[in-house]
Order: sequence, then C-alpha cells, then structure tokens
Amino acid sequence: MPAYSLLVNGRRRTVDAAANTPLLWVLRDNLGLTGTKFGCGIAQCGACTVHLGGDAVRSCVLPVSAVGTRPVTTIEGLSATSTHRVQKAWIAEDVPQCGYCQSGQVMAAAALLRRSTTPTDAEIDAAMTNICRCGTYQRIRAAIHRAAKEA
Amino acid sequence: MKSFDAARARALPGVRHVVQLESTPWTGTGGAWGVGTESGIAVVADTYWQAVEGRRALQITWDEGANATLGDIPGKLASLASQAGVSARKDGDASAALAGAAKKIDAVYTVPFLHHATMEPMNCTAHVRADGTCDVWGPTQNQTRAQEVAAEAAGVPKEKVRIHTTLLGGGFGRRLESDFVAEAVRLSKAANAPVKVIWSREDDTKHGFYRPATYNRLRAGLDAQNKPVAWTHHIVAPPILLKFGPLQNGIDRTLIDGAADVPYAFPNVFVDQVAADLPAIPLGFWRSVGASQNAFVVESFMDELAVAAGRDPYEFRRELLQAKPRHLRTLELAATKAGWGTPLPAGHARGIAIAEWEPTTCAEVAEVSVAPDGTVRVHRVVCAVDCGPVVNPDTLEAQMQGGVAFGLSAALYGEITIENGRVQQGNFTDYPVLIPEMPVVEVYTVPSTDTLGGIGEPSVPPTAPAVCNAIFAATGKRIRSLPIGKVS
Ligand code: FES
Ligand code: FES
Repeated sequence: MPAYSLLVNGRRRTVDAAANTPLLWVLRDNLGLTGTKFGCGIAQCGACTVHLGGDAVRSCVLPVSAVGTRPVTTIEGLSATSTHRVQKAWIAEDVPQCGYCQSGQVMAAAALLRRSTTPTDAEIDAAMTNICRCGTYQRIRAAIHRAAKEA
Repeated sequence: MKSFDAARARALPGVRHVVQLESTPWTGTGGAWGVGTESGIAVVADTYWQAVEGRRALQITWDEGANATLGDIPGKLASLASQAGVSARKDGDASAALAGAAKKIDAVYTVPFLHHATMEPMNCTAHVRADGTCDVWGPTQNQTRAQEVAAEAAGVPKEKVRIHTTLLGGGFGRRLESDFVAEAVRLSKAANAPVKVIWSREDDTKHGFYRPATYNRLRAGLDAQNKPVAWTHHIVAPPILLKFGPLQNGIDRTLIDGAADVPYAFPNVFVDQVAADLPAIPLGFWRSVGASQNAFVVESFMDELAVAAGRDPYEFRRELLQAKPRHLRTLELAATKAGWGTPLPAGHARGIAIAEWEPTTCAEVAEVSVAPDGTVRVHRVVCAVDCGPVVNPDTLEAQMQGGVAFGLSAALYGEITIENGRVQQGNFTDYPVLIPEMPVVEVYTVPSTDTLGGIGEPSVPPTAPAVCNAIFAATGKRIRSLPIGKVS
C-alpha cells in the first residue's frame, strides 16, 4: 500500500492506504477524525464535506491519491476552540436536529462565506446543496445570514 | 445465493473474514420485531474501504429465491379492492344514505411504499466475548428489543448484554427495528472480535422497513342542500402489525389511524380494511405512521366534497368541525395566519388540510404554483398546532418545520417500488429528498391547556393534502396518487 503525506488541520500526517481510498475513509478510519460523516458515497448528500485548499469538496468521492499538496480542513480543524463564526451562528440559531448532516453543512457554509460575504437566500440555496433529512434548511439560511453579519 | 468467491476477497489487503449469514427468523416472544436477520455475505476488514473492495471482489451470483417474481404491488392491492373488508367504523347506514343522496362522488386514492432514509445509514458495533458477555454500541430507538435481539444472536442471557446508545443520525421509526443489531452481534461472534457494521446507502435503501403502500376507495354523498349525508372509506393495505402475530379483530389499527377517526360531522360513516397478505415485504412505522397516508386520502377527498358542494374548502370544514373544538381552533389559526381568502400573486394558490396525531392537532395552509412544465413549487407553508401546553417552543418550531420537510419529500418524490423481488431504488439519485425547494414554514401554536401531545410527528400528515389541494386550486388537477412528481 502506498504511503501518502497529507496536511490535515495544519498537521502533517502520513497514511498507508490504497490509492483509490476516498479521503472520507482515510479521515475516519486512518486518522480517527470521525466528525466527517458518510451519507451516500456518491457525492449526493454533502455529509462528508471538508475543505481542500479552502474549497468545499465531497470527500466520499475524492481519492486520497488526488489530494496532493493541498491542505485539508475537517470540522475538527475549522476552529481550534469551536468558535468559528459559522459555528457560533449555528449555536445561536439552534440549527441541528439529529446533527448527522451538520458538520458537512457547517463546512459548506464556511466555504460559501469565504467566497461571498453577504449571500442572498437564492445564493444560499444555490450553494448549499447538502441534504438535511431532518429539514433544518430554514435555520441553516438564518444562521448563514447571522454569520455573514458577524464578519 | 448461488455462489460467491470468498478467496478473491480474502486475498485483498486488510480483509480478515468473509462470513456467510443464513437468514434467521426471530424466535423470541412478542412476534417478529427485527425479523432476525436477512441472509447475506459480510466482509470484515480493517477499514471500511477495504471491506468495500472485498465485497466487490466476491462476484456474487444470487439465487433470486421464492420472491423472484414479486412485483406490481399497486396492481395487487387494486385487485383485492373488490373484497369486503373488516369494519373499522360504522355510524348509521352509509350505503342506504349514499343510495338516497342527491349528489355522489367516488374516487380512488393510492400511496406508495416509503423509506425512512435516515441521514446516517444503518450501522452498529458489537463485541461478543468469550466470557459470555456482549456489548452493543449503536443508534437504536428501541433498547429493550435491541437487548433481546442481541441476546438471541449471541446465544447469551439478556442480562449479559449491555446496550450503549449512540447519537442517532435520524430515526423516524427505522431504528425501532433491531435487524442491524443482530447483524453486528452475529458477525462479532463469527469473527471472534469486536465488529463494526456499516451499511452502504444502497444497502440501507433496499433493506428498509417500509411505510405500507395503500389503495383507497372513497365514496361520499350530499343531499339537495349540499350537506354531507354519507362517507365511506375502503382501505386495502398490507398490515404492519402482522409481524407481531394475528391481527386483533382482523384490524391493523395503524392502517386506519386518521381514517376511522375522520373528525367531520357526517351522519353515516363506514370505514373498512382489507388486509393484503404480502409477507415478503418488511413493513415498519414511518414518522406519523397511518396518518401519513390517511390524511392525504381523507383531506384530499374532503376537498373534492367541498368542490362538489360548491363550498369554500375552509368554510366547509369549519362547519363540520363544530363538535371538535381542538380541530376547529387549530384550523382557524392556520387559515387566519395564512390570510385564507386574501389575494395572491398570479399563478399562486392555497390549499388547506388538518390532521390529528392523537391528541395533537395540526393544520396547514400551503401556497404553491405550478410551472408550465408541471413542476410544483411550494412557496410557503403555514402550520398551526395544538399540542396542549408547550414545553419547549424552540424545539416545537424546529420539529414542525422538519415534519413539513419530511412530508414534502414524500409528497413530491417519495416512492419505493418492488419488481422481480427487489427494491428498485438505491440512493438519493432515485430516492430523492428535498433540499433547496424547502419553502418558508411559519409555525403558530394554539394557546391551549388541553391534553399534552407530541410534536415530532403531527406536521407530517397535513403536508401532502395541503399541497395537493393547493395544486387543485391552482390548476384544477386533482392529485389522487402520490408522489406528485410533475403535474400534467
Ligand atoms: S457521503 Fe459524500 S456526498 Fe454523501
Ligand atoms: S440535522 Fe438530521 S440530517 Fe440534518
């Protein structure tokens, strides 16, 4: 098995994994970073969203061999103190229900706010294509607006 | 199964075991909750991806088994409709009243099987130890049954099983079942090690415990003054409760919830049920259970009755709910907050519906438009609820919104079909759930000291009929079969 050197949440990590192993399972099984979730495995739901070089990507379809030198940020690394403005807004709006989709939602929202400082509802709907089976979409919108104001 | 290649899988890195499981019926007391386990092959590896690669290498040839030709369930249900059902409610003499009615209406409504599609696929970790103890870590809604099922699978007394409940990535009734617990325990025993079972989304979708598909024949009559004189509802459906043993009095009460208790002041009512025997299809409790389909059927047909009577659907309902104060005030609050009867943008229309999830009542007004290509857009849902005293208003609002989202996914897209003995759907591509189509949902609470009720389920049932009644108001097209899909 090849060894890959990855920069994850600011730390250099070496993992042994088959080249086609999705980054999701490297994070969860090799590195024990279980905040990133598995929902569909085919880039449909967004539960596995992480940042790759600052952009939101669906890690269930990203082979570890394709990561290269780009830094990976997971929900665990978004903020050392869990006080990223998106996380604070999420708590203030009491967004999560079961919570399973929420680390992916938070990562997608944080990436959106980096691109677009004050997104409209339409921009949020276009960018936030993560499934929430519990239906927290309305509070997700509210939390993104709140986080945008805090910038 | 006919054949598989365990050696190819075992040769791959990280693969530790290939275990063939025979199906096991549940033999404990209290019926077949959990149905033991299905037959299949498990690949146990160091990591999930290695197990997935091992599974791909198996080259399984399936024996299609006794249900190889099972399919066309809607057709089967329809063919049973000519049978007389078991009476679930009988007030007066509905057939005589129908015969003498000045105006009669008659319709067939159908709904499909539905899957829970929890965000977190089924999974469970178990450790059966040599000393006869067993630990289970899993997202279960049903610790009591999980313990019984684990004990049976491990072959140890119940007292030796400890259930550690993990956070649930959605339950909606799917995690009342313990099939995934039994699977983890059996594999731990076979591997002689702690084993974590993770189902793929496809496994999850194809091995659900589905909300029953149902067929409904409704008839109602109006007198010369357009007052309802009779209401009959004939339900054909596979009973969920059969898995616990014979039905009490031939009735599955979960299938008549929201139908036998139709709240309107009809002088003559007859509701009956034909139990379709489809033992090969696993059925389960799906958020709001029988009310999930019966509210769609009853409240849509109620709209048809209002149209036949030439009445406003809200006023027509109000008049017939005078003896049901909890229903009445919930309906009135929804209509008032939604601005029932006030002008809307061109192409938009409203629909109203009410349902009871005992003892909570929930009424919804949906505002929709239908694009020229038939695509339905739901713009706003106003939701009023009477659950008695409110304990946590923030949770109430969240649950109401979530229930509407759940109801909308089902109404717009949800459908599990079975052909050649297999579930045809597998992932969110063919079992879609709503994302950006989420409308604004406004939640209003009736100030109430009435009996305390739940709030997790009540907003699901009125969603489909409120939307379908709005589609009728917008287009004149009556939706009698779910999912809505595109309106043609
Ligand atoms: S698990 Fe990656 S998008 Fe669903
Ligand atoms: S909070 Fe449960 S899936 Fe989003």
